[in-house]
Amino acid sequence: MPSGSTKKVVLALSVRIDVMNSSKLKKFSFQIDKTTPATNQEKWTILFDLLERDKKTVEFGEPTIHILIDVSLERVENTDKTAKSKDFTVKQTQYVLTTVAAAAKQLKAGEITEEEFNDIVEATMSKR
Amino acid sequence: MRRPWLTILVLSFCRMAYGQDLAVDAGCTRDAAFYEGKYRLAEDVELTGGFAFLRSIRLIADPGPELRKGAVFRIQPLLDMKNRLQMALSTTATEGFHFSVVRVILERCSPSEGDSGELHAVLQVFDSNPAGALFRRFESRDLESSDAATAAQTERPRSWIRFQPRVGFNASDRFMVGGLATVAIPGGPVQSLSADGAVSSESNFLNVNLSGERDFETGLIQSATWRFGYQYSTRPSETTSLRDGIGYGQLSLITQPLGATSSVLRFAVEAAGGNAQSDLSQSDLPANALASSANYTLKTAFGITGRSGRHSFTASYGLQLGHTTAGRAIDYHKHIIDTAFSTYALLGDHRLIEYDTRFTAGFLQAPGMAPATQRFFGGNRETSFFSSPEDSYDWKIRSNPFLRGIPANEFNRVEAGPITGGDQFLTWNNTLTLPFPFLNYPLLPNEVTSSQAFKDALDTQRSANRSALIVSYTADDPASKAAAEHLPAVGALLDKARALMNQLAGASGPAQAEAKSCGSNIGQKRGVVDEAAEAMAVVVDESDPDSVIPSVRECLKKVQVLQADPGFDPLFQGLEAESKAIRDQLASVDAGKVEKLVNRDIALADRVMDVFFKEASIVSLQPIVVFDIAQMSGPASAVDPRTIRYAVGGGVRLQMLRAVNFSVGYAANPQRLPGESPGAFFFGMTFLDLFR
Repeated sequence: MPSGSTKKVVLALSVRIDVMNSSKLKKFSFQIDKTTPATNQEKWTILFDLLERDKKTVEFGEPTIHILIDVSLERVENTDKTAKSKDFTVKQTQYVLTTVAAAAKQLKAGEITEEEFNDIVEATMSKR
Repeated sequence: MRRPWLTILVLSFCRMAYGQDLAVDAGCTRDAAFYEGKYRLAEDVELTGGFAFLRSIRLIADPGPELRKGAVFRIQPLLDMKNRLQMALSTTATEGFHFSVVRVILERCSPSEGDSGELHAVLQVFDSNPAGALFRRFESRDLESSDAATAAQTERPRSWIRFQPRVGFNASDRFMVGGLATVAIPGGPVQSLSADGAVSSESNFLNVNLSGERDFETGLIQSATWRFGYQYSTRPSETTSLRDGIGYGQLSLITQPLGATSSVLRFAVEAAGGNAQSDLSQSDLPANALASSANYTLKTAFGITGRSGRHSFTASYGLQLGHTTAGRAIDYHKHIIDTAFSTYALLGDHRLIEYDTRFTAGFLQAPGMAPATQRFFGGNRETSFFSSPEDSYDWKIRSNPFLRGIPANEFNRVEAGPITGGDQFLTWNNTLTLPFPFLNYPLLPNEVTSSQAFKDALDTQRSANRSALIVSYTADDPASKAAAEHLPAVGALLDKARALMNQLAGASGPAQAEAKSCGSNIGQKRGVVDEAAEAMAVVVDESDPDSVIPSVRECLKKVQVLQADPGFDPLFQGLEAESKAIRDQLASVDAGKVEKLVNRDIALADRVMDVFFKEASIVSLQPIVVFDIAQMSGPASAVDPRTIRYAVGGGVRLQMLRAVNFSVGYAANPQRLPGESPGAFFFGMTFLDLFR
């Protein structure tokens, strides 16, 4: 937001957290971005990656699950609530790992449309 | 502030370390879209922030032509660069928990509003990866705030040569100037050549060192380091001097982190030979000491060091066997025990109270003859057991009585009379850093940490972090794995159910539409079953109508109501049996163990975030209080062979991220011998690598 006092424009703020399990074979990455290209045009993006490897001495490759929820102005109300909620629940995580992951594969295989995929993701994020 | 020059110095370095954030010449008063396509970049996109100096970040962040000086400002290339940065930081993170923040800022728009102009695009990068790797060694504690990248050993060298100058003052040495120069030697067993030197009107020090190391991914040993070198030092002790010149070879080993504190065990051995000379009068020395002689030594040491939360500790034992020209195989042996503990607490935002304590003991026994320089000389400069550059953060075992109220090497006798040095010593040193910083610039600016967007994002991240760990550790539980063994059977049932639905949907019965819808639902759930090993609850959770078995069962029932078929009953029975078996298995998951593991990992995550948000500073200036006690035993012939000394004093400690470390203070010597000064003033300044 433009500010006369700081004389800076913060175009984007991106916060990323990576968590590796104790065996160091799985890594979860969460990234939440808030972009404000123009006044009153906030855009939230939520990224979720699951990376897996067989040995901890081998580097992680491409994510097993890669989910990017890019929410534009018309959906900002719901996502803003999700992003602002302190309760990203166990259930939401379970559904991201299973339902959303399965939908992502279907999308990649052309079995569902992007709109259907977005609906599944939104249902997962908002219901639980 | 009483000393304006100090403020100017601090701000100058702060500006160096933190880019242009402290001064904004012109303002950007409109949103980003206003400037897009109209303004040009005044400079290449700039990287600032606590760790933006990292070579890896700069390599990752090659801006490309669209973000170079003179390019027309576009929003998307900046956002793409932010994403590349985040991805690369994540990829290179090797710790259990990693955290990074990137802010994209437009500033110094000139003019503030217009049809054309220039602006600066800045990416502020804050990355926990270097800090996360620090939880290893006692010696890296100071380095965390001043030179995190080196402490973490994650930085790739930017240059084949490094130079770190330093200046200092000590009442014994007087003003000293010197520095450490390091040249990288790519390939081969020797990987660097360093020369560390310091000179003053009273003393000098030179260490030339060739070293190499090898890291091991697996096995007990984490790294092995070898060194060969030559070291010469002249240490003044009042009107005399102690001179040692030796050639040496060393091997040191560090184990992989062990246990909950990630402690590492250390072992080292050094063989050395050379001369030990002094101006001391032979007649004043004990019968088993030589004022000057050849000196061949074999040193070995083992120790442990670790970090647990805000506490760090180290304990070491060193044994030195020495041979002079007296004809014995072992003329003397020296034993050193050195232990230290450091802890701190946060009493408010960037208000740390720190306590460092160190206990050191030394014992020298000479059945033959020992060089006088190998006796114990104490004061406000420590002597390291092993030969090494003074500026290194390698394993340091303190091997002399450290007492801040007496100038270096002038704690050299136990009673009035000639200088003899000591045979044994005990010291206990304490430093308290008070939580009243005169100056403090946080690593993460308040404008970041206090912004609502940041807090919101972080809150969600914290809960997502916890949830992911719960899911992951639950999936790793043997009961959960046993439950997952039922997935093929569930999948087979769903395949049968889908086949039945396809059959009914293909016929022109009353359930045609419902069967088609149910078949589609089952198809989707079939995909979920393939992914469900990570989260078995989604298969059987009766409280959630979207769970696999409850959802499939309900839609099958709806179809059955419309059109009966003998295929339904076996499906219901099979689904119920599998659901019950899975639920029974999940009920026996050890939730307590999962909770314990999650809390352990969360504690690490919170710790890293605490360091970043509440503790780490680019610049801090804090008062310190010091208190030391030392006892040294001299020659047995002394009238009073034991003496106890104290030091009480204070000063300030200035730390500037990546620029300079600076400390100044004074410690009194309240129980002094005739002729000794009432105390000692200390001053030290170390600049960090100028070529970085």
